[in-house]
Amino acid sequence: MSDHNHAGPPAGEALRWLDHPENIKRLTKGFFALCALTFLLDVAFFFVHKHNSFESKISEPEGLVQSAESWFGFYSLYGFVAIVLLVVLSVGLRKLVMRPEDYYSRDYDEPAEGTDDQEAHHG
Amino acid sequence: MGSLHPALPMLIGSLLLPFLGQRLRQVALVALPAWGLVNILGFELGDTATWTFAGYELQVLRYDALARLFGILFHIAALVGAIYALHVKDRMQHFTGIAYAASAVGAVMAGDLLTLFLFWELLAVTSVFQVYAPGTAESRRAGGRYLLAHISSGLLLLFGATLLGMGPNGFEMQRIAFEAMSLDSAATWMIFGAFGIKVGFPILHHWIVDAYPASNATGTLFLSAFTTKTAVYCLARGFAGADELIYIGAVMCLFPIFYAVIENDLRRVLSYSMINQIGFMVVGIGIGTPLAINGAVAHAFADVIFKGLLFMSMGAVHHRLGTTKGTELGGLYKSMPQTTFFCLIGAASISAVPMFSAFVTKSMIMVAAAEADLTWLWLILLFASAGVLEHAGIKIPYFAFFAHDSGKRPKEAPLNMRVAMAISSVLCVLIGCFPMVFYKLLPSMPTLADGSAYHAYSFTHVVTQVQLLMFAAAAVFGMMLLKKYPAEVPSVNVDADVLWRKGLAGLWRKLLGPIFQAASNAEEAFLGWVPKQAVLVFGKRLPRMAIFQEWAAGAIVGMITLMLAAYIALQYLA
Repeated sequence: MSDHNHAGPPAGEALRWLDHPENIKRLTKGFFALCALTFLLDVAFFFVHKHNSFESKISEPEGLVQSAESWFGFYSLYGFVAIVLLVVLSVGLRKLVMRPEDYYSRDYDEPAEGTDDQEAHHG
Repeated sequence: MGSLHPALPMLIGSLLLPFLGQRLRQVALVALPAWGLVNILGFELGDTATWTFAGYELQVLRYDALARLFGILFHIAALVGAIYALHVKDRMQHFTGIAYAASAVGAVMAGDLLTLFLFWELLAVTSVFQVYAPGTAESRRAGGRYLLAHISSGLLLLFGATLLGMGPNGFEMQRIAFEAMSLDSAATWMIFGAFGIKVGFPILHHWIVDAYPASNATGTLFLSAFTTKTAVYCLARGFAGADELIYIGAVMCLFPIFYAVIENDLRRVLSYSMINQIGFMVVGIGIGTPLAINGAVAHAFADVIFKGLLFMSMGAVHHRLGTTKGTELGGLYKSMPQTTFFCLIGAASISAVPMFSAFVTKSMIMVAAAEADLTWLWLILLFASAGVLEHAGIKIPYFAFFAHDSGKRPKEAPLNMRVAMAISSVLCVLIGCFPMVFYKLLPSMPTLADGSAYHAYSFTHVVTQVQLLMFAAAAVFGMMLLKKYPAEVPSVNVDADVLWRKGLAGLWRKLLGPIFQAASNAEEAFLGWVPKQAVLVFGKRLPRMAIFQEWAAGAIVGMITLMLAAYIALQYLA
């Protein structure tokens, strides 16, 4: 992320609520507090029946994976781990597949999109 | 019964568009899909119609619940697209846009594979103009590659259908009625491949991530609505329950979400996202139970609207700033608050937040996977659902409208774009809040394996979905805070398209380059000569139109179609 692209608000423009770092902190705290609450929603399933996707399999001995869904905090944990795994693997993928922006366009003799101005200067 | 075949109002009407002035054209642009919608609602389930053409009795209309769902969907998409495109001055884009929508309607009404093929080709020829629309060298090249994929698809369909139609007594129309097929012959595999290219099977998906981000705001919106969803319809009609689709769909759900994390161009992120969503549909069709099929086609309906909404919001950004690269954006909520709001509705809808559309559609596919005892598949779909939140739910709105302030203050989107986004937003919420009304449009009311009606809003479903999404979001924001989240980098990521664009294209250039060079020189000379003659004839110089090349591409498709039609006719005579 090069800095010149993120110049910040133009001089003289009034700051917005989201421009204040302390408000971002407040939002972040509120968000993580809400996360903790949704995690604890699983307590409700002590009182209300949870409709598991693999209901019939859970009681069977080979239904270990299927029964995981009924564990306390399964969905919260799954969502969290999925994203961490996704991001870590994607960073690895980037090493494999990332190329410069002109990787395809440089195969052509004509100027790539956006370089017309430079060409005009030469002309 | 309606008075006109469902495709005709838009198809005939589109032919008038190039000849109307700007004002009148704007009126017609909105009136045509609206007329089409009223017309199609006049049909009753079970209506059929045939048309005799070159000695063949084509079944041009088969109006059942599945066809109705997609027919209505395409009219809504065309109407929203028309409103979104009102500011466009380009007659060509208006004309081909509406003709494109009409082709999609015609394709889903087709009762036999020959009729399907005719609309399939019309779909290819009309849609490529949406790719060409910006008129840049880049969009022309992307359009060429797009056309190559779709002509290949059309040829496969035609060869497959011809082979399938060959009986002991020569070609027979009744052998190619468009009904459920099984993958047990070369013919059906060819048809499967034709659908596969258009639906974006892995490796054959390259045209989606290539062409969609190359077009302009309105072009991308039209492209996103019709082609792939027509193919989803065809798979649901022809190959429901084919096990192959479960595995193909699972791959489609998975690989794009990794690319979406590292992609810089937000419209390309949405293109990957589209493959991921189609993956869910393909999985549903592969499972093949009534609940799974209902889920697949319901999700297709919801997807056209929410993905269209997301493409519209990014299109508005592109319209104002000329780019959708994450590295160039940020902080746009300050000057485009309404677009930001609509984008967030789209983001919530695709992420399957309760009260929004995907929550009531995608879940049917998940439940069907569990009912079929496909635990591994269910775990993959759940993983992909979390991934959707990451790239479409958070990344798109966050990097465009929030994140680091780019200092750019583009004007709010034009009024017509905001109206179009508002309509789609309302539809997303309506489907999400009143699923039982929406389900009435499906082939059958969704029921569980035990015969009871499917209800999206069970306590368990709402709670578990909220947990999944909240913690997926927590992981994203947590990694951003810890600076572990990959920053946007100006770059391209090579994908299967490298096979076509480097491998095949390189070979092509080496082998045929000299011939093409000679042809291109001749063409240059000719294109230079025409305007000079025009000076002599008309007294003024005609512009050297790049459009010639596009017409040439269209003419080639037309010629191939004619040749193949002649081939079939000869077979019939023999």
